[in-house]
Amino acid sequence: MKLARPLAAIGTLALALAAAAPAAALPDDPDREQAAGNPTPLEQAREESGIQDAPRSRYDLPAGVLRLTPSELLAANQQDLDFSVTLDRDVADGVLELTLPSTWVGRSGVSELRYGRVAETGRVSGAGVEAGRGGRVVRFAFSGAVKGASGSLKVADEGIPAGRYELPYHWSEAGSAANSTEGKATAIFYAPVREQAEGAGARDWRYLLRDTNVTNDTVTESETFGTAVPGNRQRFIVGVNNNNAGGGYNAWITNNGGTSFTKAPVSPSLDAPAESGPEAGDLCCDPMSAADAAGNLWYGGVSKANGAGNPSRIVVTRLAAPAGVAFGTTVGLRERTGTGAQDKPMMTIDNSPSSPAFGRLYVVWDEVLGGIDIVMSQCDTRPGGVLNAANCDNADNWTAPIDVTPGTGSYIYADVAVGPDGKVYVVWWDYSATNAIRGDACEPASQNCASAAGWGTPQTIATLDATSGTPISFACPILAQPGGRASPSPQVDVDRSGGSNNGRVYVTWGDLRAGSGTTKCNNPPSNPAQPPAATHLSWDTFVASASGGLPGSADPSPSVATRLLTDGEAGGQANSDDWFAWLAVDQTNGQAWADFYSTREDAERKTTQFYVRSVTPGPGGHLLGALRRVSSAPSNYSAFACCGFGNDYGDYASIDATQGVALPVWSDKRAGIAGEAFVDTVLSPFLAPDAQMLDDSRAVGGDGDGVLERTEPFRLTKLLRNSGTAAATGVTSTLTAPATAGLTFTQASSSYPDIAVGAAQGNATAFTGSMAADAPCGSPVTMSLQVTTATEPALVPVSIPTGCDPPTPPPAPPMPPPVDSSIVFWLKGASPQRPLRKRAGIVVTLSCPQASCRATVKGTVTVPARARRGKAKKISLRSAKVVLAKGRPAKRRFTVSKKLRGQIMRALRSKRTRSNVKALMTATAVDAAGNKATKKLTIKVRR
Amino acid sequence: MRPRFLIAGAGCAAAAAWSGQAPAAGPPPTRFALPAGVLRLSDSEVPASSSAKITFSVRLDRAVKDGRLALTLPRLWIQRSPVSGVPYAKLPVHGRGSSGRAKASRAARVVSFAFMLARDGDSARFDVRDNGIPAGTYRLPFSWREGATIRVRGTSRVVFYGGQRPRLTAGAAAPRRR
Repeated sequence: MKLARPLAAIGTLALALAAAAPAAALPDDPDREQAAGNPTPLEQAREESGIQDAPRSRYDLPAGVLRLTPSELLAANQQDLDFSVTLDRDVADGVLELTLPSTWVGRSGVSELRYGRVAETGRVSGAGVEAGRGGRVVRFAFSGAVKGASGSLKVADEGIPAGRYELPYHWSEAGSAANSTEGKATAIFYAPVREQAEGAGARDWRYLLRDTNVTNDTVTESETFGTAVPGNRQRFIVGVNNNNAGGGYNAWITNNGGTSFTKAPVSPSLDAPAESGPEAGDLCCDPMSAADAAGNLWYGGVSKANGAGNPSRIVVTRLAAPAGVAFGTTVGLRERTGTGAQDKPMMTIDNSPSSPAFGRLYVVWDEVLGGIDIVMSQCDTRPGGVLNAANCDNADNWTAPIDVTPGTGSYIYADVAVGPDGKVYVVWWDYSATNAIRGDACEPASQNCASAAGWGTPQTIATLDATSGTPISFACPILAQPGGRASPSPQVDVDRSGGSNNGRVYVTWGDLRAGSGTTKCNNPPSNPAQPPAATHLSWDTFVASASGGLPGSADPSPSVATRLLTDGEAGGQANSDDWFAWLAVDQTNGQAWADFYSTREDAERKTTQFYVRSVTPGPGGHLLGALRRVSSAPSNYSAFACCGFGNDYGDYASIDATQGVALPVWSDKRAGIAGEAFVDTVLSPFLAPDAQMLDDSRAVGGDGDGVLERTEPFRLTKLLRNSGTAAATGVTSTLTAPATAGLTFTQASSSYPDIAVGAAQGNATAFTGSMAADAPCGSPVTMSLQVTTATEPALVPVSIPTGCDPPTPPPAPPMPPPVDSSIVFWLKGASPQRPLRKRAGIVVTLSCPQASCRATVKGTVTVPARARRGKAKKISLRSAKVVLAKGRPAKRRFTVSKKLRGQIMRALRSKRTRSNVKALMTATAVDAAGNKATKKLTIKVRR
Repeated sequence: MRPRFLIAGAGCAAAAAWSGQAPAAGPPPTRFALPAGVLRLSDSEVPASSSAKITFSVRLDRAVKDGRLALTLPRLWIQRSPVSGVPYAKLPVHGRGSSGRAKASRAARVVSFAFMLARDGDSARFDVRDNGIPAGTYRLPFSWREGATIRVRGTSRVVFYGGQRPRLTAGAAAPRRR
């Protein structure tokens, strides 16, 4: 396994992964005892993460030590983590407060399960110690505690997400500010590595569902549909239309990620609304499903009219949480048409705890009685706010269907999804001359969605091809699906992940491509059948998305949406049929996935393969991931009956995604099988923003305050963390900023090292640029880092702070340390002196106590003028040069010449001038290094 | 076995089968007696968006000096979808007459079958081609006038059935022979 690149280049990015600690400094870890053999799971996980600096487990305090035991754990391993404080001296009144990450004390917004179980009170040892928790704050209090006293508190991991957590702490002692300290403790939960060591013999879960035949029987099944339990990819359901081939209406369930499936029949005995006895249903088709985070799985479809007293109904049944594999009561929803048909249902459940309709099941379908209404019924699985899924096992608890569409028309293929705020979105195909994908929305917070009045005017998402002035035919036989069911088949899902695209509404559909042929599929039932032809226009699949509302407009599909496959792409045929797109958002990370059938590998457009790719909202549309073919053999229905609505692939395909794994589900008629439901697992990297370092230091020409100001250059290192399920390879990136941001890049692109699952890496080359002199400032500017990998692209927001003050001029270069140019030098002498006495002269003492030096001494005697206003005379003494040994003082005598003696004598005799006769002695010393010192000394002269 | 509703011209049965529903009170009438003949609709029930052609025809059973049947089409039928701009139906301006004495023409919503000095057996017809008329039931009032006198008023009905994709039997889904 390739280790992640060291992050030394990140420099001071201590926040993330820097400051590599030597392996020897790893905290105590029993797993390490096994290091000589196969790597332990923790070691594997650490290696996969690319993290090389194990967090400390010990933090010194002024009066003791804080310990985290252990400081690195395997995520989802249900380990305990202990915090403890032990005193190493007596403490009269001290407190340590440590703040836990909010996640640790919260619950999953999806499953409502708690992430961690944190004790309210801890254990103590010694008198005067308290340990407890209030909210996120863990508090260890010491009052009159003695050395050795300790307190501890335990956190039990129940699903704390993998990641690096920083826990700020603060130690304080009453009356001793000096003894306060604060810091951050670090704990890392590594994503477990699921690869078994080679030779371990264990099955690799990644390959359990590689192109797997789920139904695997002799019955022809089609129109497959699948749903995974949110946050639990081990449990999911696969439903099929069995083409009335006998054997009842069934689904297949797994609780072990596909290691095995259990076939579960749905009872045709219906609990009908307001009836004392059951109805005899005739279950056939149109599988639909939904799941809540607790593990309840709902499944349903159509019951055809079955004689007097048994009208056509939409049916729903349930597999109980957490792992039920046998359906309970089959509920027949209310119908209001009598003899009319109920058709094409789809369902969803509001899984957002913050939604006002949390736990509400929604089923939409079309009600046929001449004209068609798209209708909806709903039921609460959490009546009164308490989970009671069995509430919807009773037909009487479902609301009467209400019109979603205003009046009747030609509508079909309704689908429903719920946003994070509970907003309900419904889309459908209007196959009248309106010839469009349309939809509507209702907000349960402010509208009664169980009333037609709660639904407003439909919105057009896209208009469809109208080549030759006619709408797309209701029946469209094509070579690969001659029965005629190929259609626009719209579908909707909403991002509720809480990520950067939270609330984004995705709609997929199919459309004919103008100009791709010279004829057009058309199969009016009252006219002679028009068999499929290679000259027919071909199908394309599309995705559109918008934040907080339905996307699109009354414009053609290519104008409002992104093609999921461009004909000819990646070596495919120049003209292929691509249809039955379906999309699911992985609500655990916000990644959208789409799948579809395509004839791109068959020049005759007769056989199909099934494809999956990621969808990421991007500039001007969507970024598409690598095209992944998940079927391993071509499927071929082309020899089946034309034009009679033979099921072939049915009316739609399906995909779901959770925990970083996409689960495409499709119908397959490859050689040698009857027509079966297949599934696959798609693993992928998921790159999310991590720490960053904005360098505006003097080294790059900035002021180093960490805020980008006008004219200031910068260097940026951005870490990307791979929270997906496969390593990111071939990572390149380009940083762009809004034109209005006033940022200019000199280095806008960079590669990244391969990023292992759970690991974070920084850009290999720093992004560089500067801020314009007239750029808006004062608020953070959000840039966009467009990332490509060998498989999935990503669009990562990058925000940096800006300021309006001009960059602080770089401080003047620090002066070089002052050179001590002076030497220690003394010049001393008594005052007054009597130089006129016999050979007395003026005597001074010179000394260089720290180093040898040479000194030059000069003297000047000032003699006042005799006249009252006369000018004083300055008479120089003969200078002297002295070599002074270190620390050895030397005396020098300066004698006075006769002439000078006379002048001095005269001045000293005068009462007016006698006190003003002075000698000024000046000595300059120089040491061997050339350092100098000058001293002056004034000496009074007396007789 | 081909499903019955695919047989050309199966009309009402086809439409009902397409929609997956049985007409509750029988299909709307396709024949309306007039003082001098009969108004016929080729189909009073059709599958929506099936490009079905509905032919309205008037045939005299006696001579008429100056007679005229005015049939008013639903407003929607002469419009285009405000969303897509596609017309709901393809409507000619003129129909066909069996002779110069019988004519059919359309002015806006009103289709006129005009007979001047017509003889017994003369007829005129007018075709409406569905191009996406929304599923539903439509009422088409008509009146027969001879000279200045209206003799008869009536209303015909046409049902456009919304499509339910029919469920085939296992046998019908089997591969065809080549």
